[in-house]
Amino acid sequence: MTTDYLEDLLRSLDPGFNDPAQANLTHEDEVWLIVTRSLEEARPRRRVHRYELVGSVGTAVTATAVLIATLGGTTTSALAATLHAAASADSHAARLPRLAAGKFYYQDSQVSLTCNVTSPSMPAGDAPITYIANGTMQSWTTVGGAGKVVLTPSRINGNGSHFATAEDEARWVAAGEPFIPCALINQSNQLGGNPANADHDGSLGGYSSTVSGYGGFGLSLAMTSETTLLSSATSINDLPSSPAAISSLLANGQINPNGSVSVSPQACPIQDESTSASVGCTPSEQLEVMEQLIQLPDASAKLGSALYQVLANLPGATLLGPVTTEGVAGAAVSVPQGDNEAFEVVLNSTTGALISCSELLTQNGVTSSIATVTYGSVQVVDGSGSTPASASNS
Amino acid sequence: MKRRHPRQIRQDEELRRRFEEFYRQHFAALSRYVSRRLPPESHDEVVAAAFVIAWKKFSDVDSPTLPWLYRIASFEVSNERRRLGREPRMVALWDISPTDKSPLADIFDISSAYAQLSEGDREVLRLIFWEDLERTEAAEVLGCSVNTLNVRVHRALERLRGAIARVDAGSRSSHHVEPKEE
Repeated sequence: MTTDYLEDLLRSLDPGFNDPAQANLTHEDEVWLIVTRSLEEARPRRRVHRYELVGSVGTAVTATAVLIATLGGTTTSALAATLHAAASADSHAARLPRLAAGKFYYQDSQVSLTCNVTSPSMPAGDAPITYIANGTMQSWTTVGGAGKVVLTPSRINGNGSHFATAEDEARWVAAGEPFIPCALINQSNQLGGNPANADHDGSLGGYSSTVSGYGGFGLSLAMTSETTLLSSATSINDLPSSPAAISSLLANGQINPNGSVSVSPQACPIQDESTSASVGCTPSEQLEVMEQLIQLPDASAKLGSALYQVLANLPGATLLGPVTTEGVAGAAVSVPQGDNEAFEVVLNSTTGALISCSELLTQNGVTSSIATVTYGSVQVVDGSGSTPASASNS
Repeated sequence: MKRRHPRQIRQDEELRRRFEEFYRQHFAALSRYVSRRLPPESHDEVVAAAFVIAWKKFSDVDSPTLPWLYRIASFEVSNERRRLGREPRMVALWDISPTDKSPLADIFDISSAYAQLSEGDREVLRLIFWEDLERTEAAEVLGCSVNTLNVRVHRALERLRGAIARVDAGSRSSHHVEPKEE
């Protein structure tokens, strides 16, 4: 691929926003009003000082250390004790099976996404069509963390995928069955839907549609089957096993979403307005990294007990009462994301194995899943791409 | 109450007039800059906040430029992302230009590869290839030297090439990738 072509492709990714409605270009006068109101007030802007941020992060780390210490003590709540038991069990009962030379760990997980779809063929002002897309996520990894993750979305209404309501499906049909970005349409693993949505020369042509509500977990279950290669050079192998040490690195921005550890902050440096200094990650940024770490194929078994404790002690984390997922008793940790979203992890109370991760959205008092990954047990297979004769949930 | 001298009033009015001119000249560009990085609901507030900061610094700058404004806006974008708790959670097909005529497979590959880059790499590429800034201008936005910027662009493109190769290899042989045993 030539440099010119690469650069052309990069430019093609630009959303552009030349459409005034998309780019809010029509808001010029409205924004000017906001600006001028602020100018009249003429209040000096509060500057963010570096020491304040360092203090905040330091406080978070200290609080984390204290909480981690109390998790193992006798003063913890019953729920914290349950979590701690699950986390402790993880390091004993749910550790990875031994792996002979040439063998791979294999995990088969189920992914479910809620997609809200609109298309130009729908009547103007219509609410998005809601579609629940199920897919599979398979991982093959070596002891060192190398391997691959394969995401496979399902065809329309396949593998339990479905429209939220019969009305949603009827509206989709009435709109000419527009493309649903988080579902495959045909068996050849190709972008599909109404053929009018794509040009015959293979480009997107005049197609336009949006889906919102999912982009998390570092995974994109959309359009086509997708393979992500894992490298042992960027795995969790360098992470310390102590929750306090992980918390410290995490707060300092040294832990990257792929689990690798950087000498200096890389993951989410906070830029001070006045100095552009890098001072680490905010709690919400730490949560974002933790989401990725926990879901790495080998993380639960290798570092689960430590990671769960770090997660449980992020600001706002709540330990939820015994939950049952597909007949398996679990303990759950929920951490808020912004005002109306939460990340929830469910652990097997007996083995500590990761049962599921969810992103939840609360609107008008109703909480629903945006995305959920339900993990199967880790098994040993002969090679990358091989599957065991049967797979069962832990 | 302290009264302002008429000359001071005239200077303030002239400054205000110049600022509004600056605003009208650069609103569209800043609007796109913010729209590329944040969900639509954050647009007005963030664009306004950037211009308010710009106003407060306006009289101290000899010739305010768009890269100078982008640099101010970059902090507001960072603040908004922290306020939102994370980067905007959107998967949008309009992220791909509807007028693009590149092969679909290549667009998917580069889209997947781009998503694998660090935010720092993505920002460098956005400034050069989306905001279409000169290297000196992009360096000003990022607060680094042109040499540093050149190195960052080079490395970001190399990492993008590597990511494309991995994506491409994966999509061509999803069942034949054999990572070396450690």
